[in-house]
Amino acid sequence: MKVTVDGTEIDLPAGTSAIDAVFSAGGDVPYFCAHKYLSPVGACRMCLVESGSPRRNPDGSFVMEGEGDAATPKVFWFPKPMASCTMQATEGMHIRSAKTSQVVAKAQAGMMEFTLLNHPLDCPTCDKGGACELQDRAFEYGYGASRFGFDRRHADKHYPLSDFVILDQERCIHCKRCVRYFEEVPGQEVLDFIERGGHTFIDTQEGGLPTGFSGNITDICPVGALLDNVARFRGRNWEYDHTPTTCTLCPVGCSITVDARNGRLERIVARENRDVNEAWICDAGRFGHVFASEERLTTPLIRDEDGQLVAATWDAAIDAMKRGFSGMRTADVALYLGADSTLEEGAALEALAAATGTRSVDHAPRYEVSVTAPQATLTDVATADAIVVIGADLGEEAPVLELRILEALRGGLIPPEFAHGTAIADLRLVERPARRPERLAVIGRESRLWAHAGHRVSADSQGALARLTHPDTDELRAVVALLDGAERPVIILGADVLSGAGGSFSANLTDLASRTGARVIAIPAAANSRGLAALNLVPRAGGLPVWRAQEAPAAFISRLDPGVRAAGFTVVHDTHLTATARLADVVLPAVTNYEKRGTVQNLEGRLLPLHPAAIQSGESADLIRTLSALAEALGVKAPARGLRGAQALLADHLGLDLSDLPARGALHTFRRTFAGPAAPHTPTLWTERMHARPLSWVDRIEELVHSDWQLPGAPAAPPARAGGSD
Amino acid sequence: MTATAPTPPKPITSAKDPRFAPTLYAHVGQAESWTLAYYRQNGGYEPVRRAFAVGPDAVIDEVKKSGLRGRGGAGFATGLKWSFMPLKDGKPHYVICNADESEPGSFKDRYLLSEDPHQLIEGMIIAAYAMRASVGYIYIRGEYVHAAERIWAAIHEARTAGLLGQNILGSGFDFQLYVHRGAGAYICGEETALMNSLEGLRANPRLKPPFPAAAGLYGLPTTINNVETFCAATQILRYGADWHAGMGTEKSRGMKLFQVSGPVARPGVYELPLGTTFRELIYDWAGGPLEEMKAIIPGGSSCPMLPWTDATLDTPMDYESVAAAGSMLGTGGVTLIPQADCIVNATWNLVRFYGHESCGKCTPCREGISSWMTRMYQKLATGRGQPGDVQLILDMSDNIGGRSFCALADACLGPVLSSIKLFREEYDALATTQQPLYPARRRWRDR
Repeated sequence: MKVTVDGTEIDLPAGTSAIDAVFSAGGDVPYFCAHKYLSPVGACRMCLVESGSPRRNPDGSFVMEGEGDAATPKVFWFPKPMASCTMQATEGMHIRSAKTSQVVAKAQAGMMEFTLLNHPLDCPTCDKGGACELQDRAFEYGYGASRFGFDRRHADKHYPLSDFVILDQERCIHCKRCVRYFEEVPGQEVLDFIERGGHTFIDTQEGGLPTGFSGNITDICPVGALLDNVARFRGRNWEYDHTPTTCTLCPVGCSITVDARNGRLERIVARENRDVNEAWICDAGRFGHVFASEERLTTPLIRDEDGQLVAATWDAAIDAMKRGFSGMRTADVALYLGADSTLEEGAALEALAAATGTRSVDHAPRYEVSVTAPQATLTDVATADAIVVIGADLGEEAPVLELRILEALRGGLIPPEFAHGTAIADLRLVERPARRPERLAVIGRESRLWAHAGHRVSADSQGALARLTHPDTDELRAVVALLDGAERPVIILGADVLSGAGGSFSANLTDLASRTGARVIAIPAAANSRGLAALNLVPRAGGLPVWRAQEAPAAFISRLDPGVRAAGFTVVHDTHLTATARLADVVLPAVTNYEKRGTVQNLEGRLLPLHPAAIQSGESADLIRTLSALAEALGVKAPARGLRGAQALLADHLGLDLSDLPARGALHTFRRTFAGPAAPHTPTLWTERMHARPLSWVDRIEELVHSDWQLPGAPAAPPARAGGSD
Repeated sequence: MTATAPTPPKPITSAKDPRFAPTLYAHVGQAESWTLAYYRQNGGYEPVRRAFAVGPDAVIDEVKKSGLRGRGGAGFATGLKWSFMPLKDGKPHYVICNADESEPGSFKDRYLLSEDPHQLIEGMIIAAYAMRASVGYIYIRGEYVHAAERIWAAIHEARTAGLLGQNILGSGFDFQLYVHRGAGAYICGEETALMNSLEGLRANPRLKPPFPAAAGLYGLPTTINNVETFCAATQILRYGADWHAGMGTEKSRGMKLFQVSGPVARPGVYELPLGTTFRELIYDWAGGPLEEMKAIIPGGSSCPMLPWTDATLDTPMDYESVAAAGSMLGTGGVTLIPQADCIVNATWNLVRFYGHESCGKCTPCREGISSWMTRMYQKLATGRGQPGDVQLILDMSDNIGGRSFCALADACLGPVLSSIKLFREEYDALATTQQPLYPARRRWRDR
């Protein structure tokens, strides 16, 4: 399909919207209401362009203009500018943007004047300032002044939609992105316009927004109307250090940008990754970062003469470890690490275990079973025509997977990709899309997903696979029929199935998958459990798993909190003074995953890069450097001095080349995986990360009023009167 | 009996023509005209029998042949619109009657609804039969309480008599009809906003395409027509397409309900053939103006004003002639504006209405009309005008016109732009001297 934009002819696939045609041609159109992953509505009217199409004669040929060979199809221009986000480009269409059309330039400047009419222009105190679409577009396309000589609309500037999202009703420009987001993505009809005309405002039902995925509206709001309450007033956009990295709170591995200011993590926003999270992240991933900046360990701690943990230097800590491990065989020191550690850290620990000869090596949490059925990707999930979820509480295990499932239920339409990125307006997406709940079956305990499922089977998840092989109820027969009748079925397995799965699990799963042609996602226990399984990080014969750490003669425990110490000398490497760290002899400060460089593998087998955000955490060190210190204390050769050394280990052992991993990540299947008996595990992402709810500003003031807070330096309160109350 | 071919009769373009007799409004005002018994005595439910006898496709052909055009204001050919409905897609189809008559100056449908509800019901059965629809809705304006009660009662009567429901009159055709009362929003007269409102959603207009005939109510093929259109369909099936096509002008055929409001001797609704002149409506039927006039709004408040001149008065009231005169026939709601009224004040009244009714979906209407234009008029009309204000209104209008999502913003610009064009001196007086050329008068006239 040939389309001419501002005089340049380009070739585009059929169905492309006019706005994408302009961007494809390297042009620019301002827009507020359109969003890559939401339906086009044409409400803001900023993306006006002039357009015209050739017309056909009754015989199918184009109406021509000019004589002989110079004749060209005559372009019939629409009499008025059209919204390009809701207009489909057609064969031979001509489009003029503001670059070549004075009419469009004036229309857009006039529309910008209208958009800014009731906008408070409080950019100096607005958190969005510097990263605001309205600000940028007003600068690029506006008049620079307003002729509106009246009072602007006044409304609530601090209207809490929930504990996490604050609405400034004055700043809202009514693009309706947030309303459409809730209706189309998590499928919750909770926001809408109230009132009409110039009084229109956004509001929610009583009780506020449902948590889960509510924070995404703060990302897509083109102005500073919807703000993340956790990050509100913490910094200006140009002060933040923006670090693109991967969230490792759960095995989905969403792409995020970590914004830090003055060495403190202040905000996390979603980053687009078409293959993983599109443009969305969950609330736990967005708001649940407070732990990274509170009560962190910043120096090593060692026991003083009184047996108290006191701050020390790394040298003193290494000396303390040397003393503690003296007289022990290096093989007696058990090595344990958390399963959200990176592949590089795992490789370093595996190499150290080889050097010390210890048989007690373990990572947690993990599941005993390994799944060999064909792997489904997240895109497979989003485009599946049948999905069966067994024994998973996705809110606690892998929240964004839930959004990809809901995407499949609304038709699995993934916006196409152009040279300028994901399509800005995919005309196949419609407001209030019809959902197909009959494509989703859930088996197991009740969870949030049940509200969207057409088939709901309340059953013991462990036995579900066996029962699906020989369905004994109508409900299960319906689920099997759903899988059998589908062309692209996907089975998703959660913790209730995977944790403590019996011996027949693998056979049943393989049987079901091969019989129905289904692809499978088994949600790993932690962010990098899947990647670490490729390394030999399970107890060797006679070795102790992490849940028997107390039997080990000595132990090094990294970022795990089993709540026990080893029988002998215990070193704990962690970000916070956990229960285990309080029992340790030496505590070494660790960095969080926001501060690491490395690689993790998510639930679909995609390798995703981590980059260190500029967060101040004192003398904290990642595991690779900490293992060098441990090796020095144990008197063995350090396996890897740094990240590159660890990556060299991965290249040697697994043939894994991580040197040019794309930002979007890359799918990778390890040939061999290690598994072994595992402790039961129940994922608690939400419960763990969302317990600390931010206070609303009203609560903050009330808290201040009712506290014993006094003006610093004020005289002490006068002594109570003698003979007072008693 | 002559041997030569009969010359085609001259079309009827005046209600004074002896061949013309009112049909739509023939029974309005008669005692008990809203009952089934009265309706049947006067030939009611015979047209639907005829429709069942000729079959659905023949009904659509008959309506096409009659030249009937939508009476809600846009004047789209009704038969063509009906033929857009997919015939054999196996999906349920809907027929909706747009009875959300909210345009200032329009009040024809309320009497059809309250005085002759069976005429509408019959028209909807005929339309549903032609378009293979099984369910119909009458979306009635919330303020029309009395009319809604009459419609409800009429539907109940029709249902009891087997005229609605399963196997109507033994034809094998099933049709159910429901009434939905609006909650008071002008935008609900816009067909896609009406469907949203009917579905229980916020009444914002929807994106077109898809057009309602492809994906309308609940995403299924739907056709929406005005009350008068359905009633005219009943009459077409009663008297035949040729009878209907014998009235009016070449492209605007049939009869139309015209409404006259403002200071005339007999304001009200008049059924006249299309092509009747404004002069005949105002002087011969409405009894003539009571004072000197300066402008008329020909078809409901969104239509641009026309000057009170002989040329205007002699303009035939059909879609083409009124358009050629620079306005629109719209709903046929003719409003007269007296010479002694301040045009800025009168226009402010209309602008305030549109500003109040703006749904808030798109920027030019929400901010341009609702927030800004209303206040510009308030400023001018209350004596705070400044030089340049009129030019600003014109420039704003240029930024609004044709840029909005639906036609509401353009509807507001109709009176604004036409009044500035015709009566610029009144605007300039307020902008420069802050004094109106025509000071405000008592609101109520002594008669």
